[in-house]
Amino acid sequence: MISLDNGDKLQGDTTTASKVDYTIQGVVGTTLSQQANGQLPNSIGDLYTASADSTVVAGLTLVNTNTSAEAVNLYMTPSGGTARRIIPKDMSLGVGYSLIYDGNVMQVVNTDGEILYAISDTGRTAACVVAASDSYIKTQADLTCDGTDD
Amino acid sequence: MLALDNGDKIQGDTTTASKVDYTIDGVVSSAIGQLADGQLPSSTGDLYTSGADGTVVASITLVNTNTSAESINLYLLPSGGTARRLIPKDMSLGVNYMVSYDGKRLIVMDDSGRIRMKAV
Repeated sequence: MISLDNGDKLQGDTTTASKVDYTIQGVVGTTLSQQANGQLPNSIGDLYTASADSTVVAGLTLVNTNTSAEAVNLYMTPSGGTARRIIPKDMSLGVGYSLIYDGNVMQVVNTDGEILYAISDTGRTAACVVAASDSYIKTQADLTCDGTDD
Repeated sequence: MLALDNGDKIQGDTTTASKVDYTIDGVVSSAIGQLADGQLPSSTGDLYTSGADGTVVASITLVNTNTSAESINLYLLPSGGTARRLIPKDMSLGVNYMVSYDGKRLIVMDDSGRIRMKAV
């Protein structure tokens, strides 16, 4: 979750205005609510401003409706403070892709419904990288990296 | 979770009408319940309309019963507002595949019970 005090803001931007949908859900006081929705601007702008201390943002969703990838940014700006980035800088969001962020985990899903993830080959054999690079979670046995991608 | 105010809607569509089952579960006024079920229409239609502020959609499940992949969409339509996409645009859902979405995580599972992932 993301905790906001009165006057704190969530801000964002993208390459092309009005091409990335956003929705923000959370808790104000003790009430669950949809806090904001709209489309990202092409320069940093306010998405949501907390009107009370201890406001909780439970989830933030972005979907790229453009026909080209968008470089998106999200910030938390404390009241009277400086905007701080909360997702990777100029993060590329592919055509049609969605991004879900809850303050703890960020998930990007492509238009085939696949969760995107990166693998590092540091300290691993090429077979390990190949074995881990198909479209499914591998079992522990698959990750023994014995040179076969079973 | 997805929080809905009175009159807010969950909407959806797919390529072929009546081929993708949906169920929506959540909480209305402290009561846990199944909020809606049915099959997606082929043009954007209402799946569920909230009857009270503070309605919580805890999960949306979609299953493709067709013999070919379906391109599906889900939206949140605030009362008096504009529909906003909740999942990837025209997301392809394979034959027999399911989607589970709770507002925080979106998971697609195939008919062998495997979660779809992609290394990039």
